[in-house]
Amino acid sequence: MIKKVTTCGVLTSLAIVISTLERFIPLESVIPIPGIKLGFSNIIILLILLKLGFRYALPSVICKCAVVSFLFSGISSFIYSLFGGILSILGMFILLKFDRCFSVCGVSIAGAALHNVGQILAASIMLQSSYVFAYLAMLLFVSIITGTVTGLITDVLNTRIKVVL
Amino acid sequence: MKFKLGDILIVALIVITAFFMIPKKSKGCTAVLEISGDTIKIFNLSKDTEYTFENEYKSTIVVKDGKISVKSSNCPDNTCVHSGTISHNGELICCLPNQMLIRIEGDPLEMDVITG
Repeated sequence: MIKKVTTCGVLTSLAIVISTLERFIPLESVIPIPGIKLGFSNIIILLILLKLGFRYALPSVICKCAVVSFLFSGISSFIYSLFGGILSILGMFILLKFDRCFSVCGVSIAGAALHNVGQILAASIMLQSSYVFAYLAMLLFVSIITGTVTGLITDVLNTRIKVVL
Repeated sequence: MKFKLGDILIVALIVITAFFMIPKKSKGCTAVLEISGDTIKIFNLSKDTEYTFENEYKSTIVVKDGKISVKSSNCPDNTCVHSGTISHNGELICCLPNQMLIRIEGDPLEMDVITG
């Protein structure tokens, strides 16, 4: 139990570090959509979900969103990423229940897409406008690419790290 | 790593949804500035203007050559400035920190269809 909590804490801080480093990649100036990200911290979140389970992954996501948002951008960004993060982790959790049908990569793609859907939902509520859904098409296409990359990395880590907790 | 049947299903589902979500583009003639869902100002795209407003952050909007853009903004992520100019229906400039949205509306004749 203590080992699990400690591991979860270390991994969460790693996710926060990855999220922070990602902010230095100016992806928004190439594809000008608010909130577009590579989402590499999802590697860690998915790894927590695979190794430790949903009970550890959900608090980890909330913690990551809170720390990163409050360090760099503020309350509104916290709401967007929290919406995306929770929808994404719920989706990935449900899909992993059927791991006979879905590989880690597929789960990761679904997670990335759901993260975007959650963010857009949050944005449409905050801005009280459904026009933001115009961004969704582009975000979904990008999420297939980023989701595949993070999924492949997570799969390698998941098979190589053979620690029993 | 083995890909499984469900993966193809996930990707297919995302692609299909994305295709349905692609906004239809047509030349617009007015731009609407909304803050938190309230329309603040409607710009006529054929008239060149400059407009500065302040919500949580200060932004300067420029209309030039039938296109609208955010020239400068002191919001933290500056996505609105990076969005460049827009002039077509379905295009957006969105600033989440400032809760600002600029969208293009089409033909004046279609206007009441869109807003109604």
